[in-house]
Amino acid sequence: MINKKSLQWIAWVLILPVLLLRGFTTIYPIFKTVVNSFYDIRILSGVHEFAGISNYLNIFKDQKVLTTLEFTGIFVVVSMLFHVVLGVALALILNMKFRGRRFLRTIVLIPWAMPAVVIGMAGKWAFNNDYGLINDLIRRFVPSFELSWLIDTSTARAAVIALDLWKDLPFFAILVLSGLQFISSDIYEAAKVDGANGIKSFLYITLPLITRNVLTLCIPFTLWRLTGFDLVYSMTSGGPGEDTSLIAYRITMEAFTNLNVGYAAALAVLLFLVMAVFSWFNMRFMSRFED
Amino acid sequence: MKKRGESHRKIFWTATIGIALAVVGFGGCGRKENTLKTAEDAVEPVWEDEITVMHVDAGDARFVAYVEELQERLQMKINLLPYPANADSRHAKVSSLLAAGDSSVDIFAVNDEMINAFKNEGYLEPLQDDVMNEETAWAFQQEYLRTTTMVGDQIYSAPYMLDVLALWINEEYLKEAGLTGIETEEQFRSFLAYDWGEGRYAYGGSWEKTYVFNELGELINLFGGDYFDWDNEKTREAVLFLKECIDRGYTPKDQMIDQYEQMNQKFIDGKYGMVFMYSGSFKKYMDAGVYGKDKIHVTPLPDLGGNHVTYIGTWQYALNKASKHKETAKRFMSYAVSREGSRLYAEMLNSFPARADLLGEDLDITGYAEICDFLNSVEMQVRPIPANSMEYIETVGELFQKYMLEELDLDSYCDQMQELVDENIK
Repeated sequence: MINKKSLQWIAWVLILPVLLLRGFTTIYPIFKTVVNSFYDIRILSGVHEFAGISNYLNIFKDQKVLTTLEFTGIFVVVSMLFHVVLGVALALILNMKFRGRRFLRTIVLIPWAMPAVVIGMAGKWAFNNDYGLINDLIRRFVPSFELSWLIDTSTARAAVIALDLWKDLPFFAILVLSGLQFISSDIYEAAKVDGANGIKSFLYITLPLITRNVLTLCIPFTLWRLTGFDLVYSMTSGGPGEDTSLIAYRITMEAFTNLNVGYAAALAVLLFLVMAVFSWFNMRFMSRFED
Repeated sequence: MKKRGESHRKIFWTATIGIALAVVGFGGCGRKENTLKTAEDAVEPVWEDEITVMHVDAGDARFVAYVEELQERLQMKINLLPYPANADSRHAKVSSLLAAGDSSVDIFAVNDEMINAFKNEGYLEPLQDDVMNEETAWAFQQEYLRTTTMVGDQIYSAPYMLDVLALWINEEYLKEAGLTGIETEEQFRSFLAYDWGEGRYAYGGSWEKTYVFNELGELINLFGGDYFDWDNEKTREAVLFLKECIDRGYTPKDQMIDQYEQMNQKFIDGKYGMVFMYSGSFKKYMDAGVYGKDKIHVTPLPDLGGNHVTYIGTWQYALNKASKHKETAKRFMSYAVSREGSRLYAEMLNSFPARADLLGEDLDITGYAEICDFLNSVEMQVRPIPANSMEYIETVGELFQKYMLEELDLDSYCDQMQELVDENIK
């Protein structure tokens, strides 16, 4: 009889290339980033010296980063809130039986399939006061409407969030829709027999049954919002001032334009921790929800 | 019913396969044609020496023609790589390549911002012993060479094109306002105050945070201020003037997201009466058919109480220290900055040579006389750019935008600018 444990080395040998590759492309860069975050590395000034936790302390003194963190928070919360509310609503619409439903389900995904950089560049023009289609549309109802969306902080932030929703909301909705399709129509029919109207059916059948699905979706969608970079890069360059700068954008600018590698590494570690903590809380919440 | 469905499916698959075969067939034809083309290409001369140049004009047909000419003259293969259009991305791309020790690019075309950032870090090959030897170096404006391209005695780049920040005006606007020029303060102010109607502005700018730096310094000079002294009344007057331009509607607020590309388009479209723009842009105006004495042209700087000083910048060739073709690259650069090479570039690309000894000579360049006249009426000044150029320029832009958006008052803005200048430049 062959001892299974004695053959385990074969399994290890077989997965070794993958482990080495993963270690080199993921574990080592993370380790190196953490190490760099404790150094003051400014390539353009030729500085490379141990700095302890000063990079981390500087984050909370740097007005640019504070503004960036503020907008990142707003962006993630507002965008996810709308993703959940409008995404579920859109999924319910797409789940209804009507003519052209398949066509609608297909075309609704087009914005998601487009590269974010392209959407960002198009968004820059779309929100332009003179040439933009947004104001053109509004002017059909309010002819005197004038607004340079990307100039003022609040409207620029709203524009960035709106464009982000336009791009990713349909994908969220399609994924919620897949959850909706698992709910048996028998349950709705039974509820109808018991006198439940549409709203009650939604509140007591649909919502509880898709909550787990929605919460699961919230993890990657929130993480994508946290690491979002390309939309802002091509649409506003973080402006006006730093008011629409997202943390991933700030990291890129510090790392690749300003070549402040140490500081960028500290920001990246901070983002990594935020993402890890968020994911842990979300998973804890989900397991409690299941219990 | 099922049978009907099956027959539909058959038709569908037959059609799909048919289309696929047709596409593959046409593709095959295409490949055959390409093969023929390659055979023709094989007749082209094969040079032993080869370099790769990352150039801002790589997509310009005129530059491609210039490079083809250089290939013949220098007997070398010159590969061109384009830059991203955006200044930030361009800077980031070169930073990454140099910092990584990448040797795929031998020569980078760099501007003042880039050379100021890279010259101190040992990524570039010094050129004072060959490309920019004493004789050649003397042909350039010495102050510019010293402050921009040099560290100590080492010269790290070879300028090939001069850009002069000039004031451009739309002649049709002048006529409409009943003016003959804007050289006096009175004329300038009345041009600004004229009612241009909806969607048209006396003054257009490029106030995106990485671009406004140029205009800001230029205006400070025009008002007689001092860029290094933000307590100076004249410096503040210049800043107040720009704010006033927004408040009184002389210029649109939404130009705060405009880079030169957008500003130029608006200027060409007739939305702006005047703009500050680098001389190299006249090619754009020419291509758009709006360049000329009766349309868009350079105008003398107005007398606003300061000196007639204008910023200059150049595009330069810098040699990657990691290059594996240094000798060939130096041969290219030496020719490009020689009198003959500079003249060839200037005439083929309709741009101004960086060599001071060529300025004033008889060059066949459109608009050359006009820019020479402009240069004769002003004093050229090098822009104050520190080593952390993009970070600094971006911060200048952010503070400026905050002041314009009234997130900062004048005192706070000037205090923060003073702090920034003291930290980075003084």
